[in-house]
Amino acid sequence: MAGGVDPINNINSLDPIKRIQKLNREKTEKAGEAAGKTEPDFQKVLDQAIQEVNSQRKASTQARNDFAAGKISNIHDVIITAEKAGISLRMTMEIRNKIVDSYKEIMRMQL
Amino acid sequence: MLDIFDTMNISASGMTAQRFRLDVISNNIANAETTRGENGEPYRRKTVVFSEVLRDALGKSQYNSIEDLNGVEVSRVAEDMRPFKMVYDPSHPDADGEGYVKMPNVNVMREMVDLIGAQRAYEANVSSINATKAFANAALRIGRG
Amino acid sequence: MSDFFSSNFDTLPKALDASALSNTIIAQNLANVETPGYKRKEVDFENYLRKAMGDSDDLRMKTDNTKHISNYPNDISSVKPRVRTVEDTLITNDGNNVDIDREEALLAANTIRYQSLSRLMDMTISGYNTVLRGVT
Repeated sequence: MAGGVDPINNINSLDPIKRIQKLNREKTEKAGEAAGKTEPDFQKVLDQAIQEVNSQRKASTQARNDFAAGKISNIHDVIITAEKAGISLRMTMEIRNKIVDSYKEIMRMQL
Repeated sequence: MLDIFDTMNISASGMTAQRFRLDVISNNIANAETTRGENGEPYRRKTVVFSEVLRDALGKSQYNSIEDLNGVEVSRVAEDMRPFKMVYDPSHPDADGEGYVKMPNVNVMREMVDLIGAQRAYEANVSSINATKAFANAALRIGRG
Repeated sequence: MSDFFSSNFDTLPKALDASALSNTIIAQNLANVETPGYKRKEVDFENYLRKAMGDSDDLRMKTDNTKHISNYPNDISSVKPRVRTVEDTLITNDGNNVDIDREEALLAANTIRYQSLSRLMDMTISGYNTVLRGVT
């Protein structure tokens, strides 16, 4: 969202291009607000996803280090932990991509 | 928890123990006719005694959890104190006044049975190591698709 | 997001743990197949898991008061494999009760079990990876 005062915001400007740009901006702000209303959900989902990725990655790193140090009991534990971390990461990326795509879609809305 | 390598060590200890037993049995068979050993006496049959190996964190031999499991070991080689066999064979250089020879207390048939048993037990431990290897391979394939 | 991972990620790793533990216990039994006085050991797990999943013919002790002790685990996450020493099978003269034939059969069966479980885990994980393929 544009901050500060600039000549474009002056809707009384006689320049038609500038007027259309102003209307476009208003429309975008409204769409942004609409997106903003659902934003907490996106935010929460993304936050949760990132938290999950972090905890999976920590577990995976811990498991790898333990195994390297000779502490881990079972190979399958290390591998499953690593795979879960990979899945979490990619799932989060997928969620992020979808959110960005949705946002872009909203921003592309034409008058 | 015990890991793949510790589990293999358990099986390896079983193999070592049974191999040792095999050697002792072979030695019995080889000396089944030895009438004069190092001490002048006939050869005396030997047996192995196994004991479970348990090593807890303090090095004491008790079983509290699976971490303590450590396979088996030969705790000692024992002598069979049963009497020597008296065999009538006057032509034998070691025959006594009545023509009897003191022979080792080894029964070759019995030793053969033990030998097969030791072989079987040895192979069972080999199967165990192979199984553990199969476990490792199966685990490593997880996620490969 | 933890709900994203199916229940397979709870039960399969546990079953894998129990199977790996069984393999270790069987190794100890086979190493001690001729040890005088040795009593074979066994791992209890599958029956606990089945009961936790609610599939049991036994009567479950009803607990009205949370302070009362329940004799069955109620949720899968608390199910743990347990090692038990078996005293009540036929023994030889020297007190050893390991039947080498039976033990080897258990070894083979458990190995197949672990391979099956890890295959299932593999398929579960690969399923996710396939869906997420191409995601950078």
